[in-house]
Amino acid sequence: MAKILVVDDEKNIRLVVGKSLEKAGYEVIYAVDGVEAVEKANGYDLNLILLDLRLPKMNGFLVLEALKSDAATEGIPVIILSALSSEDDIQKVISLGAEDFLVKPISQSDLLLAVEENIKEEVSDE
Amino acid sequence: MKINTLKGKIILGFAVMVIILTGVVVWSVYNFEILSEAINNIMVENYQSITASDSMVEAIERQDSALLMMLRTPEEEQGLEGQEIFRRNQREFYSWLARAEDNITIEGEGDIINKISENYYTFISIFDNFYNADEADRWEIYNQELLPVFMETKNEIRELREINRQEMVSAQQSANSRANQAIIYTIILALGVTGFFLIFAYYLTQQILNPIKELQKGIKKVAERNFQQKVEVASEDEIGVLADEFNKMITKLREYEKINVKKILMEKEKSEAIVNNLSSPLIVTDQDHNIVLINESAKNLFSINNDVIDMHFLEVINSERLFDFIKKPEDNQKNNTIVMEKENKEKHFRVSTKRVLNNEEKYQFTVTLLEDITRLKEIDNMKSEFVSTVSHEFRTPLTSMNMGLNMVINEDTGELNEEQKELLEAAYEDVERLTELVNDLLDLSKIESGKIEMDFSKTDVNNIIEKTLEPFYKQAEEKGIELVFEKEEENIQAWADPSKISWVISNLIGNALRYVEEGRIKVGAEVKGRRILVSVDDDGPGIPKEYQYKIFEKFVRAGNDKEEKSGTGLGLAIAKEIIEAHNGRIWVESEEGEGSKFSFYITRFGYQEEENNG
Repeated sequence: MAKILVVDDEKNIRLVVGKSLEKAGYEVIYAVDGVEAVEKANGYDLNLILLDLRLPKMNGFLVLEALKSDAATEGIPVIILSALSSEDDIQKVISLGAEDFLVKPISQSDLLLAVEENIKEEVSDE
Repeated sequence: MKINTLKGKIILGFAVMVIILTGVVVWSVYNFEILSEAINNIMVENYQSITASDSMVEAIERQDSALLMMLRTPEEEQGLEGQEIFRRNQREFYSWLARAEDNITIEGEGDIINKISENYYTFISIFDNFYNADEADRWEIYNQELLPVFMETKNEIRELREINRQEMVSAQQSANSRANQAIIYTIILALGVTGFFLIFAYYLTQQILNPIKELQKGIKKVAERNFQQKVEVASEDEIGVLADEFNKMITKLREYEKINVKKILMEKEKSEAIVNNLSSPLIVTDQDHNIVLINESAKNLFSINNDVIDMHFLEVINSERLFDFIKKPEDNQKNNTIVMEKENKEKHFRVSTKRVLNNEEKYQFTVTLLEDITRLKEIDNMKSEFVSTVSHEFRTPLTSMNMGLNMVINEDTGELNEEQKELLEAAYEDVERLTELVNDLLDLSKIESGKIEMDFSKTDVNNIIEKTLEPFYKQAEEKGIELVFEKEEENIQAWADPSKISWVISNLIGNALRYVEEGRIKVGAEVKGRRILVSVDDDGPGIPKEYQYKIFEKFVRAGNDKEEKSGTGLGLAIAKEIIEAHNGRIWVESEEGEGSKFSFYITRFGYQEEENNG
């Protein structure tokens, strides 16, 4: 089963996004801040990361930068899920190597569509 | 006695002239009188004496003839007659002699008459002897005595006549010389009087003219607004009085002018004080863009320390942007803010330029006022920031609401009964609306804050309309509305951001579809000079007049059908921002029950430079 890390400090977001993904058949793990996100990205064999930008301890940009500059994690696709939506922000995350940018609020179907499009194919299990 | 009045002077002058003239007349009359008297003397006195002499000669000669007659004729025949003639002429003689004696006028005349009288007496005495003598003796007496006395007497009388004749001649000469004298005197007098008259007239004229000339000069100076003078007229006559009055008038005028100048100065000081104490920078320039006035605040803003009056604007203030406002005030109505850096702080100003016309309605000055709106801008930014922040903060909870509700409604978490489903769907619908609102708000605040930049390019308007309309055809068909694009001409090129214009058209069509129940929606585009006009015309219910002017404001929707129609109420506000960012204008024409026509224009491709620079 594909593993997705949902990084968001908002409990409710973690809940609805997590539930949506679980219902769609993904395994979901969570991180509540940037530091935890980087830690968990290394600890699990992830297929996708859903990353918020406004995060405690370490913001999403820094997390993204850390992930993409680490050989161990650079291959994991990252979809930004954020309420920030300025052109600058989008440009910045794209240049940092994010695969997609979803602006909150987002519908379930759009979320799942983006996840499907970007998720890394499972290699190990099959 | 001093005569002060002009009238007095003239009368005095004439009086003197009359006296002199009278003198001349009297003198002349006197001279004529003397002349006439002299002539009289000649006529009467001498003439009488001469007549008397002649008569005496005649009488004595007749007596001589009578003597001769008595000598030749015998006494018995003729003697008596001769005696009678003699006696008669004797009486005649005496009577003339008496007259001559009465008329002695010349020196020596009396002596001559006395001699005549004596001789004649002797003559008469001898005649007595002659008469008494006999014939023979008579001849002797006549020849010896009578004839010599007769001759002598006759000579005496002739002498009398001669002196009288000479007297007449001398009297005539005297009269002539007197007449000549009179003529000469009269001429001299007349010349003198004429000369005096001329001098007097000149004097009088000068007396009158000089002060008048002074006055004239004075009046001329006053006409030239020179009130610092005094007309010096010494005379105390009417002209002197006039000059005095004139001087008084000038003094009053000077005082008046002083007051006026004082007033004007005060007004000027007041205006200058106002201008200088105006916290907003103010610059006044003339037609050639030279600075006429600049207040302290403006000097401060542009760090000007020296006198810059009469210098060209750009020489003093290095701001082409601001100069554009001054050059063409009427073209900068829309985007009239300007950003300037002062002490490392950004300052925002609203520029208002006003042309000041002179009396002939011709442009004379340009007044440029910079209104510091930095604080307003800050507040505005804070507001935008606030809206943006709030909207962002809404997004996260909206996401969980949206997704959570969606999952429940899709029954991923278990079955729902109809009632539950209905309620949750209502909630979901409003979450969607809220989402749309938040997105629109964010768009608007981005456009307002200038965070969304227009990506201008050469844009085919027909193409955009076609593409924009595509997704709406199905929706229109479902509602039974005819959606048409009436392509009026090919190749309509605008200078625009295609995605933003598409957004606007899409919004207008979306609105039309929302409100039109049946009928058609017509989209058109045409070239109008240097602009492209796009319109969306519908057969909808129309917009009441009172709403037409404010539907482009935020959160305004026509009518009170909020429950029925979806939409955030921000669409037209965003459309307006987008069109204005294109240097265009958007407006609506609508008649209630007749439908609405939304139109906007944007810049035609090729005219963008012109549009931007005015």
